[in-house]
Amino acid sequence: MDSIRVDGNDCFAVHEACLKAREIAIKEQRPILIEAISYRVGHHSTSDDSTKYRSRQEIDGWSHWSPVTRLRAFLEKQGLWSEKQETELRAAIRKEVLEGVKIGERKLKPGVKEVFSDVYDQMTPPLLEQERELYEHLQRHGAHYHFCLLY
Amino acid sequence: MAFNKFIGTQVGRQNFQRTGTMLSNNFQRTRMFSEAQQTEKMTLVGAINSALDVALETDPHSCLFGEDVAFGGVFRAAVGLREKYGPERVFNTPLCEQGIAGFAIGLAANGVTSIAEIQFADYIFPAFDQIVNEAAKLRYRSGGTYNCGKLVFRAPYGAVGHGGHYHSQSPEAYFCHTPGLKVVVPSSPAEAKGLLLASIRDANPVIFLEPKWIYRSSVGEVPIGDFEIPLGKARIVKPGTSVTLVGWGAQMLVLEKAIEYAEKNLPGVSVELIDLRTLSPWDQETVINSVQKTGKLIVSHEAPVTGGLGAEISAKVMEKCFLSLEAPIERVCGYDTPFPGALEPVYVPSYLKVFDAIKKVVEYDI
Repeated sequence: MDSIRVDGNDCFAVHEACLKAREIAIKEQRPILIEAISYRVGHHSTSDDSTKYRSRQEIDGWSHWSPVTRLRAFLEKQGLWSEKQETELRAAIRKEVLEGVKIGERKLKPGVKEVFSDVYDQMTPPLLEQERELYEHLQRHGAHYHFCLLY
Repeated sequence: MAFNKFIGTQVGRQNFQRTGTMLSNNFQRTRMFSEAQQTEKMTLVGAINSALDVALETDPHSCLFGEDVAFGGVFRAAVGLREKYGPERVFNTPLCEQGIAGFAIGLAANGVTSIAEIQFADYIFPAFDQIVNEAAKLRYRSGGTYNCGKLVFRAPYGAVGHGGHYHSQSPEAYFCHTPGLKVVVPSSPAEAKGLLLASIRDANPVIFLEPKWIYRSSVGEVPIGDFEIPLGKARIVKPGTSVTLVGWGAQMLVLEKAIEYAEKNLPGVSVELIDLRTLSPWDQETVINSVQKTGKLIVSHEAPVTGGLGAEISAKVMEKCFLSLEAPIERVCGYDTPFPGALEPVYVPSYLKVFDAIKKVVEYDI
């Protein structure tokens, strides 16, 4: 199988490679492998501290090659983007995200019936029984679960 | 006819030799247990680390491996071990549970003590075929000619508060249902170290499920050095007379809280609490003796109720203690749904649900 290796952090190069690969795949009816070289700059998850298995220098070295930063630099050089536009866009998006968070936080947690729904298309007899048991339990001890209730 | 007799003798001799070795190992282990007097305060995960350290030190033909094990593991259970024992004994595997299991089984079958880490018990399923069809059956299908003893699959299991579907599962029932495997679940630091060492050295493949919720919050005195807690033996955590309560792992803390609440709010009630420790083979004798005394049984586990280990324990106790039972056996478990996200607090067998069961059985009247 033929392959194309491309700088995965260069969006134009990746686009070019995909166009070429697609053209070959369709015209010649064969698979093409695209190997896009990139790097995971952030930690694996919020529970991970990646400096435990790689050096700061390595991380900083790669951050330099961020595809977003490179595209921005290109656009600025072409006169298609500016520092002012960057600041304004960031402020506008931040406002939009924060409003979304406010709306989300006001929403109540899913109702208790969501524990038992969509396990199957139709609730089975054991699930119906267990749902009833849970409701009865919450009637007796609901106050203790206040932090996660309710519709 | 003569040919069959010849084969029989060969296998018989091998079995005798293997048993002979096992007996002398058991004798040594018992001595070491009583010698380990001094203790040190440790977390549960620290005790696991200590057990792994002892295992690697005392057995030069042992290896520890899994995803991210080399830098110490995502829960820090393997911290410092690669530095101490070298990259040929403590190493990373590819992100492939089926491969980890197959490799571990082959290694163990060839005489290397294998400690394989599965990063979360939820990820053990790609390895299920290797564990069930290879590890569990190697001794049986070869008539004892081969075995993969000294093989442990360690995996963090259970609710953790925010784990959702794929970081909270309790898969013990699938493995308890597979003959040829042993299943062990510790509930505290000292228990974790002793049980893990016993599991690593057992002549059979063991699934060792570690209660990740209490990895750091469970702290206790742990014997320094080498010691083991025997498999197949439950522990009576608190003696009682009114009802027998059986659990394992992190659930033990929930049961203790339920007992405290029950003994305060139900005057005269005295609950006997049993930590099963080994789920397969489970200590039937201890549980049966207890139920014959109390006449009532409650089993509690996070795993879904249907087909969970509680069902097996209930059936066996019903069979052996039918005339001693004064109330139906209660199971306080997870519901028959995937482990949920936001609604985890109402899903898990909370101390209040256990309390309700205690109240129900002690007040049971036909």
